[in-house]
Amino acid sequence: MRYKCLTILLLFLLFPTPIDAAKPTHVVIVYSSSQVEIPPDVYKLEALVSRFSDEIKLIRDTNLQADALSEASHIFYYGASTSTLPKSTRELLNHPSVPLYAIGQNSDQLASFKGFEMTRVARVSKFLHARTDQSLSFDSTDVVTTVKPDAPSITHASVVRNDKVLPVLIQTEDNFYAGIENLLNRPSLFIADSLFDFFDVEAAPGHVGYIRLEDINPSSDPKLVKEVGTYLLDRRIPIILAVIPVYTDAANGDTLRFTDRPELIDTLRELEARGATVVAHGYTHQYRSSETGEGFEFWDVENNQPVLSQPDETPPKLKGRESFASESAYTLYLNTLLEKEATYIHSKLSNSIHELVSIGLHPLGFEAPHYTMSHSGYALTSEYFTNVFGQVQWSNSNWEVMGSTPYVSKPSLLHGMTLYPETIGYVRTDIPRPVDEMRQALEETLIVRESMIGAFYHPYIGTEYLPEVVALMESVPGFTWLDLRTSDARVRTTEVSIQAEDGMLVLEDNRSTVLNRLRLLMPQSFLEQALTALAGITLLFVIAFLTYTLFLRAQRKKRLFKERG
Amino acid sequence: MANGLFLFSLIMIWTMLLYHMFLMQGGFWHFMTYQAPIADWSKKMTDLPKVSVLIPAHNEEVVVAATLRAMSRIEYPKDKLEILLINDNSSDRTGEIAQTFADKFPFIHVVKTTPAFAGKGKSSALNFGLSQSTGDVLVVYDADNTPEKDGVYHLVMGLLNDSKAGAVVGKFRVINAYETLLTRLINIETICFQWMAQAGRWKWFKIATIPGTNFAIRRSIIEELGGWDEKALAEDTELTIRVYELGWHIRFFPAAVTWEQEPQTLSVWWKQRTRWARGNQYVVLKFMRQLFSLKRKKIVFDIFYFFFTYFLFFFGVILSNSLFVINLFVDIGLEVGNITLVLWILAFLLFVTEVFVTLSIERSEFNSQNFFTVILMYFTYSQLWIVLVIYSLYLEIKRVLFKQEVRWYKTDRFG
Repeated sequence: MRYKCLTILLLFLLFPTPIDAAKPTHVVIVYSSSQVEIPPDVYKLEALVSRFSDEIKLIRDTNLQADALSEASHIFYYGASTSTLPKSTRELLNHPSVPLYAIGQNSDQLASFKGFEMTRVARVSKFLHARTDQSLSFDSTDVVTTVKPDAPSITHASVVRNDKVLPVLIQTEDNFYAGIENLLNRPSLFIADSLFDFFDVEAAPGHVGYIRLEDINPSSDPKLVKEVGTYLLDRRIPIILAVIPVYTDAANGDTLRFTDRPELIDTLRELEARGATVVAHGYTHQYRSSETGEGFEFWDVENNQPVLSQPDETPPKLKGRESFASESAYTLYLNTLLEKEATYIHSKLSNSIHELVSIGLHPLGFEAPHYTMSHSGYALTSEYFTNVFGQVQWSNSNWEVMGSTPYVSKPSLLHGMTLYPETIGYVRTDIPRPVDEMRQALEETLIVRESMIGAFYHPYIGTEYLPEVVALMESVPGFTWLDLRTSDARVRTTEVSIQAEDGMLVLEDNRSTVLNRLRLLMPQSFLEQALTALAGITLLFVIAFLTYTLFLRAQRKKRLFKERG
Repeated sequence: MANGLFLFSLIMIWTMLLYHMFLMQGGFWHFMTYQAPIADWSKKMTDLPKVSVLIPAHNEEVVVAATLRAMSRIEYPKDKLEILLINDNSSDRTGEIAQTFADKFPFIHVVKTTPAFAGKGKSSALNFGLSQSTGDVLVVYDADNTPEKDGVYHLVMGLLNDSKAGAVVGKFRVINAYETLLTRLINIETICFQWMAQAGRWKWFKIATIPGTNFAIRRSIIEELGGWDEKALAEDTELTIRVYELGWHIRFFPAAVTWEQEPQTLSVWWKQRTRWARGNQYVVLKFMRQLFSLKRKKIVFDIFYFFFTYFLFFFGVILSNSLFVINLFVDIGLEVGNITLVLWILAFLLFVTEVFVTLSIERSEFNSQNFFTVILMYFTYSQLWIVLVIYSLYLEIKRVLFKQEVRWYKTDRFG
């Protein structure tokens, strides 16, 4: 009974709560940007809003039409850079009949905020969060716009500067303004939390968290994996295992598979049987000649572009929109190149799932190596997975622009996949007190209602830091552990499907057993391939020679010899 | 480091094994086809050349009677046949026994080497025989050989029907194959050599090696070459290369069969094979120096094969075995995957099946006794070769360093 209650509670926590079943939430995000592409900040904003609405439209200020707002229940305006809003847009946004949330620059052009005194302040790092009464100092600094409204208002967050408290996120009636224009940095946490008030949604109490055991691959030490996994499972923590099916050695290009490490397979199966959940952490976690765990797999970091060629080929350098005379010519060019990326990603993802299933594991989610992937890559990934762990690459042209939402979300970028964010980092053994760093991240994350406490841990460290990490996470009021098996997580390829159903893992594998085994035995490195080819040739000759022998034996009596005797 | 060395040894070993598979395939095809033209060729056997059969003999009293008895039965026009038993410094009854045959058969002659040629080994005795002979075609048999009646006829047939053949090589079989375990092993080895190395190379590359016995060569060629190389321990291999250099090829024609005696004790075998190995090493080193100046590129390939056999292959095997043994006691980081184990098993199966094919070709040889001998052979006789090659290499290095004289060991015979 207690288990069932917990399951229901978890299900409740994991999925966006409808605000009003009778009136669906339609959100329109209007943004001003000098770029043609949607800015990463807008994607981030959309991801934050996705917690509250399934219907979100992103519209550039120059493209806003009256009918776009007709269905809207909530409107956002985000000013990424200083610009003059088109007159028609301004008029449409000036007297909205629904709540308006303005963020960043140009908001003084809107009627709702017309008389407000707005001041841009540079190098701000200290904030005050009104709801939790928490003072937070971030490592990085930002430019923010402080605001002094000319009407009664509620301050949700302020900056602290020279002992002065200056409002930066305010609410006047139903409208909100946030002077935080960089949504990729930590101050965006204040906006994330304020969305509960903006949408007037009561947050679920408490926080859900998870620990992911990271980078488990065929070179991992089975003893350490077992030790760390057992430690957590013994404490009823349903851990996530981020597993990479193939290890590639950067030094010589040799590959190692789980089939070469039976003890490790046994360990992983045992952990899964005890409640751990596997997520596919790529296939080799590397591209070209890099080492598994070190390399990027779904992003060509050397050229900072999507993977457009096989590892042994020289990729074309991706041209920008400006190199093409028309949008259609650019689209045609892009689609041709992205076909190669699609082939690559399809092969990697299906291989990863198939190989994990072949060794008896049941992946229920995906984590992109180093969280990097193109937006087209996410679309392809959504054909296989319903869940993604970690962070999202917000920019489609720069892998370094990445991050996460503080709570579980369904960013449109992920094409229906649910993002289980990693919010408090990991145990870094290269710093003196790694858990302190996580503690600070946790405190920051906790200012957001429903925020997820997501962490990862490398099993090669051993259990040394685990007690402290577990204690830290479990110290959060109303904390519960995420159990992916109680969600409707699903993983699917053309031949295999895995579904979580009532805590059970249901596998359907339509692959040929023989082919499946053969595929698993197929070597990866050139040397292994050469030796296998050699074995094949030799086997053919052995068969031929046996056949000749049998033929000659059968012909023996017919043959006449001129030799003596 | 260990993995790199292991890979190197693997390449050395498998290059040879792949080549042998290829040869075996050729050998089998040659067996299936070599008899087809004999009927046609027989029609041209009208104007036969005069043949001189040279039999160098040094203390061969145990076997010489059987040899000459077989010679007396040779089916070849007697007016065009002279058999020269070259008595080289024998201190036993060789000359005496031979003379009784010479007295009885006018085409058998006994010639005794004179001081300039005497006691210097087989090459020298052959050169003396050459000076005493009158035939247009020279046929050489060892003193323990008993050729089949039509052996000489078939050798000549090969020469008459192949104008490009400078020499024709026949097949030899072991007469004492079932005397001891050693002779059984040698018998299997011999059959393999015939059908894999000789027939296989002939089928693919038109190359065969003169084996020292049971071959015919045109007199004009041996005269042009200035006779046999008296320094060479493996005078046959050496002669082979020089014949090719003149632009001729050497035909392997298994219809010409001789039977010969093989060592029945390990010590005799050891001496004989050491001489062969050293002889081949000498030839390899002699011609490796002029490898790229050799005109016939086919033979360059063959020399390279010898170089592989006597140097690289054995080095590869020794290296591989050493790494394997060291790895049993010390962790040298050798990452031997499952595939190498599969290859090891396949190498054994390959050996066994290759031998089975050759034994099946010789109708009576694929029997249960030989079946088990083949399996035993892989783990014993074949491995003994490794030790032998190392030993002979050591002797060759010593000979070169200390400028020692070459000594030709005569193989002991058994009654």
